[in-house]
Amino acid sequence: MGTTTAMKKTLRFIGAFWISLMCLGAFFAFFKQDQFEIHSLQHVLQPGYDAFGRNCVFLLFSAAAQSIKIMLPVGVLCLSLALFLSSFALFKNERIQFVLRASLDTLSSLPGFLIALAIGVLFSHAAFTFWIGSLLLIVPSMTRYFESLILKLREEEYVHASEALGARPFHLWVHHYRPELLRLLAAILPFLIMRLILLETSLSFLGLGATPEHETWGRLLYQGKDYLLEAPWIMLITAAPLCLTLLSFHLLSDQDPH
Amino acid sequence: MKTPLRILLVFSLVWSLSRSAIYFLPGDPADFLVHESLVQVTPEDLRSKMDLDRGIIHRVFSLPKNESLIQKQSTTTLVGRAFFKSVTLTLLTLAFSLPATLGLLYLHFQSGRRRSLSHAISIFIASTPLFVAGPLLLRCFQFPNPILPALTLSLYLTGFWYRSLSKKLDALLPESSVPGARALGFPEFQVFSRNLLAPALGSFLAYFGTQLGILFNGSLIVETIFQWNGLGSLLAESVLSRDYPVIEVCLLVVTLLTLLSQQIGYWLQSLWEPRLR
Repeated sequence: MGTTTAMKKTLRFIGAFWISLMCLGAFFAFFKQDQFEIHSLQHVLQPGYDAFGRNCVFLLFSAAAQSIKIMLPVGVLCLSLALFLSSFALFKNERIQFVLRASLDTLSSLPGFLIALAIGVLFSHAAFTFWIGSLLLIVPSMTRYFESLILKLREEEYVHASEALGARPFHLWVHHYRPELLRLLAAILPFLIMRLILLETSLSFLGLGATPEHETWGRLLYQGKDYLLEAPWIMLITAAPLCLTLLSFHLLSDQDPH
Repeated sequence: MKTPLRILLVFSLVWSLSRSAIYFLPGDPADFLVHESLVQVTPEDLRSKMDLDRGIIHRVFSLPKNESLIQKQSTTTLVGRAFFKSVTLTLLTLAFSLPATLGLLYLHFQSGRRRSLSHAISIFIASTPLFVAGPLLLRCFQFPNPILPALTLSLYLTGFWYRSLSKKLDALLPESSVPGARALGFPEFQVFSRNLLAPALGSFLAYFGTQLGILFNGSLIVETIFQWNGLGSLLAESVLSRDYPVIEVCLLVVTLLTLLSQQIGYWLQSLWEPRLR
């Protein structure tokens, strides 16, 4: 048992190290983008270079920076919306609860991925696809997580005691709900990031996610798919770090119950 | 009573949205089709074919035209063929992934190395996205078409399902009759199936019902890689070529399938656990 725990800790450390490495690379690439994306006609489709003659390893970090740039506002919006919607669970009015449940059920019944695809393309705005996809696929599940925690906490004795002593909703939110919600957020954050990465890369792989001026990981995979036989390294250099990043997030999310 | 009402509400919402969305698109859809898609008809004819010459209310309360704007076939034939292919892929995927998930859960139920092995396998396959596993399998194996896409989908789903369901089983374990059955010396497989899986099967069935919708959504990537013309790729194709009647019918069929699969899951759960009725 002890060996397993130690091994899990080591694996988690490796996962955290890999994610930090990627973030560091993306940070440098973000500020030195001109140096990271040098086009060279001599190197077009040469081993280690892409169809525009750019170094695939440098491009990988540059793409990571672009992916973060696209995903960060969407992630923040999804979290804020989920927190806002779940805060309706604080109201003890049954009608509000019913409307919230019905809206969440409706949203989760919709084929979010396909609807996002249709709306994004029909409005001729590729970024729309990712935003709508995230809102349809991520917000309902995140809201459910937060809502169920709030409903559970609402029945706790210390919350009842606080209410009986005259605590206002704001006080309850800050002192009793917020710490628990933040703890839950820390536990589900790796899942949120994984889902955002998967959604962005999946949509871009189909050519419908990020616009061509944003060279994200998904766009690189899209390019790699077209040159799978002539230049398999484009796909490999992007797909391997992507899998390793997802693996790292899986390892980080493997927390013990205590 | 609430369930049929909810299905009706969601379905009518998607219907109204899909039938009225065309009015909110930038530019004139008929002009766009004539210029971009090289369709050999006048914009007026196209407007009439898409019911755009009448008001939004009439469009919402009427059925879509049974004729594709791009392909010279009826919408019903196109969607019906794609539907059949999607259902084949889904059933084959379930046939692969359900036994694999149960096998991994059985390994998880054991202690020591077997448990670690199931954990490692699940993390590895759940970390390989469909668009990476698909091309890799395509280059490595030469299976006929429905098998390879189903294998790709089931690999991903097995990892994903295992990671969700193993947590549920872990939560159930302390309250179950497993320690007692083990102490009585029953075989491990019997203890797993009777004392742990059977009590949890109701919630598992409901979970699989909700996952079928994800399967219909997620299969789009696999269909694109393996050129399996299911509902997902038909929708993607018709969206790119702006074949509005096909888009509308496809969205409706996929939504209906998602809703139905969810309800079948809940129905099976209530059959397994009569106290939920």
